[in-house]
Amino acid sequence: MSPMLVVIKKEITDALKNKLFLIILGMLLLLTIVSVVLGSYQVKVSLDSYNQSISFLKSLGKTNFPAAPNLNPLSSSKSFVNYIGLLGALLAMVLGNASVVKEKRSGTLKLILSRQIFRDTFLNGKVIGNMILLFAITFVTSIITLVSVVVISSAPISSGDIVRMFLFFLMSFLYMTFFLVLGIFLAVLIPNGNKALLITVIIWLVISFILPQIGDTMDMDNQLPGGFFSSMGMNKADTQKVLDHFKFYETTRDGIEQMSPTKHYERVGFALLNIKPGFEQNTALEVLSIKWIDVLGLLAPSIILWLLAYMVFLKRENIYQE
Amino acid sequence: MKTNTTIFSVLFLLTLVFSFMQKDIQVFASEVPSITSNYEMVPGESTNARISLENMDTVPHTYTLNFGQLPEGFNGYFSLDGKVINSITISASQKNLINFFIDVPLNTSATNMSIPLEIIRDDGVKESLSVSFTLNPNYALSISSSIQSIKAINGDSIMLEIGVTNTGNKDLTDLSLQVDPPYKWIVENVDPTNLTLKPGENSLYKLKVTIPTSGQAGQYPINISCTNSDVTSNSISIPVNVSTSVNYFWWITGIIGVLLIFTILYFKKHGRR
Repeated sequence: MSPMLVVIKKEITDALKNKLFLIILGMLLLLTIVSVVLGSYQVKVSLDSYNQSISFLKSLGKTNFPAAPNLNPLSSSKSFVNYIGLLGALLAMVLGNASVVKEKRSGTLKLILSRQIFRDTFLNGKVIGNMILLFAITFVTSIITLVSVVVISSAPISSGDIVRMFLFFLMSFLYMTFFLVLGIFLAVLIPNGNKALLITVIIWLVISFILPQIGDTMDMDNQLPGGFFSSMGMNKADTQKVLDHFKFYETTRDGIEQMSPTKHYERVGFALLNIKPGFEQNTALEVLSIKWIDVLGLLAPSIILWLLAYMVFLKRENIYQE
Repeated sequence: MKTNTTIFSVLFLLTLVFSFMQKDIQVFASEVPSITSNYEMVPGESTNARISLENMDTVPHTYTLNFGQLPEGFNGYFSLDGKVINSITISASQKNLINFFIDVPLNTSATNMSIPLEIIRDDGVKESLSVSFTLNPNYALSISSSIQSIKAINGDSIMLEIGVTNTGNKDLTDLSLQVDPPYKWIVENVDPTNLTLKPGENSLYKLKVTIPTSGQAGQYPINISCTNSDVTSNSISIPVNVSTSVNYFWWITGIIGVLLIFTILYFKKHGRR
């Protein structure tokens, strides 16, 4: 067995013994099941209500029936976006940090690296092993979601919907991978494991909550409940005149939002799940091609951090100390 | 004295029976509250007939609202406080004013029509009435666009051409284009601002719409209609497919590429450990 495979296997085995990881995973799965079941039940209630209306109209001899409501069975995964944003990210950060810190604390890092294992191979094994875990979690969750939607909601689900759902879970996987790599990078960079975890959490808070919040808060129309322009009694033409004078401000605001992988995950996720209107007629791949900037916004930071982790890990002399 | 008592008793009984009959028959009443129940229709617009519905019973009731077959292209619905309804619950001794809307198509051959309305109370009691509509062919306006959809990049400006035709029998003056762009999009200019069209005449509006640089990729509709004080045209929706500038892609992949080369060189210099 190649050294990298040994590290991968060890990583998966270790994670399944990590109590903190198991607790967060349990919470994530529980919340996912509850939200998906409730979401699917809501779709079922809407479908039943519509079918009852049709039966009633038929009994009155009507032939013109109202159009079916937009049931969108994919919307049952809407809450999942928030859970991945919170617990999924936390799970990935814990995995990333623990994968390096546990080896330092137990003294096994020195032992492993004294064997015929290069530092880059070791790091690859760590990242790939944890990515396999995250992929397995998202895959299991996607299967639970799909089964719940089909069994509970009874809503018609097309092959296109299934592809959209799996691609959405792939985006969730990429989002968690970013936090995994961030956790590993900071654990390699900062000698103190606890400090590394603390800084990882702080960065997560900044990019997941503060940056999107700044973007939202800076939006002029969000300054008053019900919309600033509407509250000021401004019509669309006047609103546009005002916005026209704030082009730079708007670009800055958007730039801050673009720095947040959470925002990118939300944008591509909501488009795939049809929660954001305007993507109903597109295929899943078309949605990804339209939202490529958001996919890139999830991928690029992970790649950059991975490369930086290589360089830091290669040169660190005090890697065994904490 | 006895005769008087008998007459009084009979009158009392008759009053009682009559009052019961009255209650059974006039449990609810509906009417079209205007001098005439004949409404004028304008092609391409909605006509609203207002119907007063009164629950004359002592308990609340739910009423199901139905209307008869409409000519092809027409669309009808009941509405209360801006919401489409098929039934309404009215408290005892209360009344409600319901709107019956008819959407009239632009090109219709129907000049007069009578629509039967049927209101069924929850206990099966029915009431029917009829509302008449007459077409006013004087004012009719139609707009069209040859553009099915537009592809654009955020930050771009797009040019649109909208054809407008007076399909009525009278001159239409002070026509203006009503553009409803997505939030934060800017309508730079509409040429001409105002337009006058003779019957059968057509013209072209040109407008420029700017997409904000912060606009997200996606499909957004621009809704357009034309109007003056007499008539409003049909509304058309032009979907705009906004994509992100490819420059961002080159910048991001460039940064990753530079970092990758730097990492390889770093490894070559220091060697694997």
